[in-house]
Amino acid sequence: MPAEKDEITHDILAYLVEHPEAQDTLEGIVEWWLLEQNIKRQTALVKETLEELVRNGFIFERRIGNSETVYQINEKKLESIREFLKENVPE
Amino acid sequence: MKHATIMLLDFIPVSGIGSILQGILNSSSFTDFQFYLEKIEACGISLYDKKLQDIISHVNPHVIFLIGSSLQFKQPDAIMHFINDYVKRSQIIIIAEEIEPHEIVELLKLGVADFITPPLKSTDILPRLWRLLERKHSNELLLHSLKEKIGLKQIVGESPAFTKEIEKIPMIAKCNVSIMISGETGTGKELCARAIHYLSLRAGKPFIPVNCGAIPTELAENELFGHEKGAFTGASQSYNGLIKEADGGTLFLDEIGCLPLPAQVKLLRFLQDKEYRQLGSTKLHQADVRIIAASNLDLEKSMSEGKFRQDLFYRLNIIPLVLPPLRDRKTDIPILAHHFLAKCASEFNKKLSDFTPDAIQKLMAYNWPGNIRELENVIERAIVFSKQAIIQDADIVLPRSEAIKSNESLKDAKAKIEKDYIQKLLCTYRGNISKAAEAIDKNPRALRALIRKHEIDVQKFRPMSR
Repeated sequence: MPAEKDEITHDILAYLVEHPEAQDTLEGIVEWWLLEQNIKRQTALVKETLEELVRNGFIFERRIGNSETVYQINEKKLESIREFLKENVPE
Repeated sequence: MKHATIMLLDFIPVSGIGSILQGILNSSSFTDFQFYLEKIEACGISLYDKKLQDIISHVNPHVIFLIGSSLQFKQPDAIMHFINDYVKRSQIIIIAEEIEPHEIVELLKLGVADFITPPLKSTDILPRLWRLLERKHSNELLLHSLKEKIGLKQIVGESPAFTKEIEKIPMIAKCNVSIMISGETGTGKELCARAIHYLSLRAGKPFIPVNCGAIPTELAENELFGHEKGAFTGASQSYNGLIKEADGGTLFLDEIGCLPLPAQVKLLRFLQDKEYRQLGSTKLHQADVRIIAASNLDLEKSMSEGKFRQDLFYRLNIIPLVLPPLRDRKTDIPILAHHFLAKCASEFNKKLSDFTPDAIQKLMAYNWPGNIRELENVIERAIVFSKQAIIQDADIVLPRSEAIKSNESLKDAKAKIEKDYIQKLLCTYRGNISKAAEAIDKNPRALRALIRKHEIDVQKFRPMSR
């Protein structure tokens, strides 16, 4: 529970530092401020994981058009990926 | 100082709106607007014209203002063609009068960034432009799109009557027009107002919800607009007021129908000019606030009774959002019930995962005058008192008059409806069985049999004989 409270404290303060003029009631904070911080944390985590997978050679990173980046599997590493999945089952 | 290129395509130069707009843009001290005015006479080029494409490509503006009559914007194909084929980096703002709310929603769906109705005021135009010109980075765009997807899932429901309204939210969030949300108590008006705010360019600024019904009549003006120190006996300190509190953001005025008439006049003036005076002050204050109003009253009736100003209603009701009552979206009841079960069971530390079919049936049969809020309370109470892993119909406690009596069979219920129907029919035809039978295309003998079956006293419906 304390870890969860620490996370909420962090999220509320981080939101207010990013948006110093923000004001809302408890309902709005639960529904939107924490949601925004959660999305940001998850997005950063996914981005970091993707970068790691690219470094490991498990996936490729490719730019399409002018700006978008897409990710896809490196088929040559399929066997190593299967091994990795067997060894690393999330709890 | 920031720089921006603005283009104005004026389809009605005689209106003078283009010149007023030019004056407003030139008055900005924060942004240097490079301004291109293209006057397009009625017999001149249209939105389809190649000549127009060349002009836009050459100027490459950040923002294009399209000034026209409602007629020009009643051609969605032309607007779509214009946006998709000609306009690469520009945001489009339409200035027009007399456009129907559903047409505004259609234009926003096509990609128009904002919509403005004359008269034009610098206090309104410039903040809108600045917000649009704050270009979003790709990270921010991703955040916005995820916020839209995940945030709107908090507004639970799948029935067509409901989703038709909710689908408007992302569109109306991105423009700056006033919104009127109507719906019975507990239908989710504040939830929708908040979604509009947090999906708009005003997210990150204040969202101030106010229940106008909770403000004492004599304090309404003071609450909204504030006062100067010494404005009245006891005003030992100045007070900013809620409009100032919401500056840059959104002010949600719930139960707007309860706002007293003097405060309505002042609010109308603020909506028109974006300026107001605090009580006891001669100084004009400015505030950039989006107003979202809501009401559970029939405001048209309030207008006819002189309790609500018609001009304020039309200013607020530019885009209406009508939330249906829960009894009109009964298919959403099981979805909402499971949503509240998942939400509240963990709060009360209970391992409950489902409802019995009888429990769902009981929820579906009820009329829900308090709507979603009432449903949430009923589920919460059921969770607290439930002693089993699944919520039973006995756990669902509903007000006695509305709950279906468990000992009443379908046959009995049908008979009751039939008896009621025949009594109303006899009342209409003053006890004349032949006429009543003819009206419902039934044999008089069959109707007499039904009257006997239900032991109805026909004499009761006949006029008294002298």
